[in-house]
Amino acid sequence: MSVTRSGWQIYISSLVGKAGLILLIFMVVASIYVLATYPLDYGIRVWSNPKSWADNPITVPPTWVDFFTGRDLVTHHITITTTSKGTETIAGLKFKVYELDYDLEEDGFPTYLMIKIYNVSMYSERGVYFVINFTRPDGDEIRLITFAEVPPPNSDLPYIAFSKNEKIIFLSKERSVGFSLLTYINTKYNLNYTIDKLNEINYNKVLFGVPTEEGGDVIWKPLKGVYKINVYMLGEDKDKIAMLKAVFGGESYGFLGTDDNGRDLAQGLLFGFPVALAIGFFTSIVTTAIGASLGIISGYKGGRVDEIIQRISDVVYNFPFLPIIILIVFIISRMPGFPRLLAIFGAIVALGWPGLTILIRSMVLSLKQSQFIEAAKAIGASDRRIMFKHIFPNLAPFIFAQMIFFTPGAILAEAALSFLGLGDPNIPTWGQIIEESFRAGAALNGWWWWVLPPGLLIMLAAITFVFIALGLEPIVNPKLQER
Amino acid sequence: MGVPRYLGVKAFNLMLVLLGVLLLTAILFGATGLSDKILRAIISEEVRGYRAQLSQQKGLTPEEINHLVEEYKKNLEIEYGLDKPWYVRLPDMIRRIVILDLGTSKHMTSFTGSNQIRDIIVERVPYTVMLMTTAVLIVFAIGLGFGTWLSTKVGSLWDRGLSFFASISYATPTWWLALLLILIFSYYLDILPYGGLLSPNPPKEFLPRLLDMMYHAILPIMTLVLALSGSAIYIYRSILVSTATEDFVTVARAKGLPENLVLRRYIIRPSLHPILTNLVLGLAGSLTGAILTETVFNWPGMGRLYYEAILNIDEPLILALTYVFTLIYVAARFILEILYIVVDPRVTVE
Amino acid sequence: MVKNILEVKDLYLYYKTYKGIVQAVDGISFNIPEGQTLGIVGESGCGKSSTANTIIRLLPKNTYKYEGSIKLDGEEITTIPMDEFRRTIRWRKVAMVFQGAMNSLNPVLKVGFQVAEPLIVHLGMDKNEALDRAKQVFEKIGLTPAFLDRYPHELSGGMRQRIVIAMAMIMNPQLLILDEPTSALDVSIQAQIMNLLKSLKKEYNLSMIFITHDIALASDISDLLAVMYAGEIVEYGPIEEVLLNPQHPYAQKLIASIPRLREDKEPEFLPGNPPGLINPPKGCRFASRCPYRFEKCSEAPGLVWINGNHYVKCHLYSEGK
Ligand SMILES: Nc1ncnc2c1ncn2[C@@H]1O[C@H](COP(=O)(O)OP(=O)(O)OP(=O)(O)O)[C@@H](O)[C@H]1O
Ligand code: SF4
Ligand SMILES: [Mg+2]
Repeated sequence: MSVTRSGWQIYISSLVGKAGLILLIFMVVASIYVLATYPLDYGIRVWSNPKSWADNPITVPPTWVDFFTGRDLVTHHITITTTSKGTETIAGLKFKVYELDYDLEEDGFPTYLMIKIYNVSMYSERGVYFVINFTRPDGDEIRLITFAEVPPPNSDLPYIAFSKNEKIIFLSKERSVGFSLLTYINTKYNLNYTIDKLNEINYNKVLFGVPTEEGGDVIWKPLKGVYKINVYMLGEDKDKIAMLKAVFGGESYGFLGTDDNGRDLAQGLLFGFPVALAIGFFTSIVTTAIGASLGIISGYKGGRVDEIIQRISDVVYNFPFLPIIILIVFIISRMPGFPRLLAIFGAIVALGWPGLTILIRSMVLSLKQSQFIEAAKAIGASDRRIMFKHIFPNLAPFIFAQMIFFTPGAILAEAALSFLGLGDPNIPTWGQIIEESFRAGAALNGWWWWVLPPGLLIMLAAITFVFIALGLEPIVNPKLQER
Repeated sequence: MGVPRYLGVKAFNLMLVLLGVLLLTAILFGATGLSDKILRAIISEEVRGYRAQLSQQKGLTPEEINHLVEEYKKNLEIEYGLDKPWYVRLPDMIRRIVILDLGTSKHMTSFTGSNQIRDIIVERVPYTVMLMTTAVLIVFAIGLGFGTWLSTKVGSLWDRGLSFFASISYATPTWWLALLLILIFSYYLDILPYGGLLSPNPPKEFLPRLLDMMYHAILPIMTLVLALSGSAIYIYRSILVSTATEDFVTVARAKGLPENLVLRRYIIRPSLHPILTNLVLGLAGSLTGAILTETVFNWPGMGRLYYEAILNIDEPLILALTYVFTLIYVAARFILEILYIVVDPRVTVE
Repeated sequence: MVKNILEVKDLYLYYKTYKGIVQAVDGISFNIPEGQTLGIVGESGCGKSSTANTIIRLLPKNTYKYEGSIKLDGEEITTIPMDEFRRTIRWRKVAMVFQGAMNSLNPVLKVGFQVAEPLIVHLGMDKNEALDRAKQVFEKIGLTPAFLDRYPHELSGGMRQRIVIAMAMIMNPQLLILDEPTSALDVSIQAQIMNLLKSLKKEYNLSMIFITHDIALASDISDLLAVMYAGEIVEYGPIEEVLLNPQHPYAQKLIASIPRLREDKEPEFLPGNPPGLINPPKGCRFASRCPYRFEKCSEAPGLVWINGNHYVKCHLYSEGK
């Protein structure tokens, strides 16, 4: 029953064996990539940190859905500038001008428009005055909003505003923008919209579109071309804006879309690879080690030790798995500061070992009768030596296969527990991501990209080990070799 | 070994399982200080009641009331054993779990408004049992039907396809499949409700109400059936295939028995022992597995209750539910032992 | 002359495996006169059970070739459609006691019912009547009727074997095939079963095929003997002739290997192994182990009739040697 070269040949000649191995290699490569490129505290530093995702569109599908929708979805776009274009004098006042460009190429509206202003340095107590203008491809320039900013109290020259928190202006939501737009469309297109009517349609349609008549109704159509946002700043000559950012909300994002925090799901799901592999490997290794050792000891030693191990394993084996494991994880994770994933790991191990112990014990009982064990005993080998050097090597291939076979169970258990909200919200495991999607009602809202991929990945991980186990079976189970 | 003795031994072993679970939970709760918290909550509830009762009575000054309440509280603490360390209280703790005397739930009430844990759980049991039994019986019918059919086609393309299908089905998390089906049938096709027991304004009469409930049960049942059928077919097929290679099946054919009789009397009948094992353990397993399915579909059974208890960090409720789940599991195991005696004359001989 | 109850001619049974075609029964022929017993002997794996299965047409799924003629009481039975064969031949005319009879009984049915079942299925008898008949057979066979209500696991190996024989006798078959009926039993029980079979043979004028690898046991009950080697019958004839005057080199070795009480001659040992049944050698299959092998042996030998009912398959006896 030893794994020999021919064992390897048998394994690799089976289709499932090959498939399992290829999938495993894929998973390992993905994990190595993550470990090499992600920070170790990725969960806390990036994933759970809203700042990392502030510029992303919320719950949008992947960009490649273009292939299926038959229409180019508007891609997410961010324009940044750190330098002023120059100055301009309006009504005798000298403004510094910053320009942000955007080219709308797709046949759709950006979902929102947002502008962010970072670190404005001022050299006068009077502060600065901003005017934000919006130029459309049809040449029309609309004054969207104006506002003043005075230096923060108790600070020295130069006064810095928006240093801790950048100034965020949601142009496609801002009320004063609404009034500007109202005047613009009512005069230009002879509409008689009220502000309420305008609020009903989103500002972004007005910002990036033109009205057309269709059967008496006004329909807004997107207007392609280059848009410009001009930020005029009135202040001292030395006053300047460190950085300006305009976010044109996309209808799609990245390879796997975003969740309701704007998080890039592809990034989070990729991080799930090493986590899933680690959970699968460690729980199955530890569980198998405990289960097999107890089985060998129980079967070999016999007597009281055997009796006790047998009783306990029998009792634990008959525990209802899910409720007990939930209970254990729940209680352990009530202890503040205890890592949740460790609790899950511990609970799976605590409930997982008896199956193997029972199996191994019966195998050891029959091995014990065999001649070579008798011989080893006769020449006076110690119990420990017999167990390690004689019994274990005989069972090793079987134990190995059992370990592989246990792995998908561990992966699925972790996912289920995370799904029930017992996981660590700071570590994006696949189960955790589905849990969040469930709580956000993703399935009810049709946000399939937030539901399907994590589940498929869980399946992929589980099936990898199922396939490997199936491939190993004819090697470990010689009866099947005949067929 | 006679039948009573056999059942006695089995019952004893199952009692050990139950005791094991109780010990485990009691120790976990005691050692982590959770049991103290639970008892304190119970006491403060009673104290509040006492205080309210006192303030109804005339002629007591606030000081007197405070004094009496303090006294009352002290007595309660002694009565509940809060003055002693947790391991001394262990037996009492177990006794309380056994009779579900765990006080009140912190956040949840039963449909009738009671916040007694026992009331909350008891009214949920039928919904879980209804849903899961239906699903498991359908899975059983499908599993045994297709399993039997495939067992006569060993090595065929269908047969090989099955082991692949079974692997996929094993690797599919049921709760995720549930979300998938909601996405398809509730969101895209919009033909089935995504959850709950009844429509928002449910009909009052019995029959339409029942139909409404069944309509809501379609998706959960479909999920369970899809998720469990693959392995069920595979297992039943394997059981039957291994019986079909027994010598007595060849003998039955040699005796000139018609093929369907051979299948029934010589293949399925002798396989009933492992088949029942699968059916009953599947049932017991799915009752506990209800935690996931009911959660997704917001089906108001014990499983969903468990999930809500976790969300609300309601320790006594979780403790009680774990116990009830174990009880159901152990009861199912015992029923199984009785069924063995009926279908297999060999079991009582060890 | 008595009529032949069974005439087998050029019978083939090949199996298909992923390693190749197994030529388990390769063109065998023999006759059994009514009331007589044919012993079939040979090493393990030579095709004895396959021969028996072919007669009762229990062909495994991987059967590759099934050809030849089997006449039962003068009627060709290989061409009978399967369903008719099941209803009219199996157990009504040909019954069988299988190798490894320990597992021949369904563990969850009472043995009485299992014995009586063919009566119910084939004759439409009602259950009680059938059980009554089973009771009679039980008594014949030396089993107390109380056993009717027992389950197989409650009975010893010897009793189970008797029940299997009772089950085979229940329809009064014309031919009873016994495939190593005693190999799993200890010697004293073996003797009891042999005596039972002999008395049944006499009482019912039963025709039997008795398969064994123990030639001494075969000689105890048989009237004719067929020696099989690698899928072929290499010698067939009346038992005395074959035992006292074996012709085929393999039969000679086999018979010489029977330990005899009165002689101090060492039993002969046959070196080597029989050829595999997948792609067996073109010529004589025994050639690799035969001390008399000569050039002609690279061609397949034909049947050589020694006299009336005795043939051998060996070039030593063919014309123009
Ligand atoms: N269904 C089958 N498929 C392939 N090969 C088979 C099958 N049944 C039997 N064989 C092979 O055919 C050959 C003859 O088998 P058979 O059982 O007839 O031998 P036997 O003489 O009865 O042996 P034994 O004394 O061991 O019972 C053996 O080599 C066996 O391995
Ligand atoms: S044919 Fe040749 S090899 Fe075969 S048995 Fe006869 S003499 Fe020997
Ligand atoms: Mg045989």
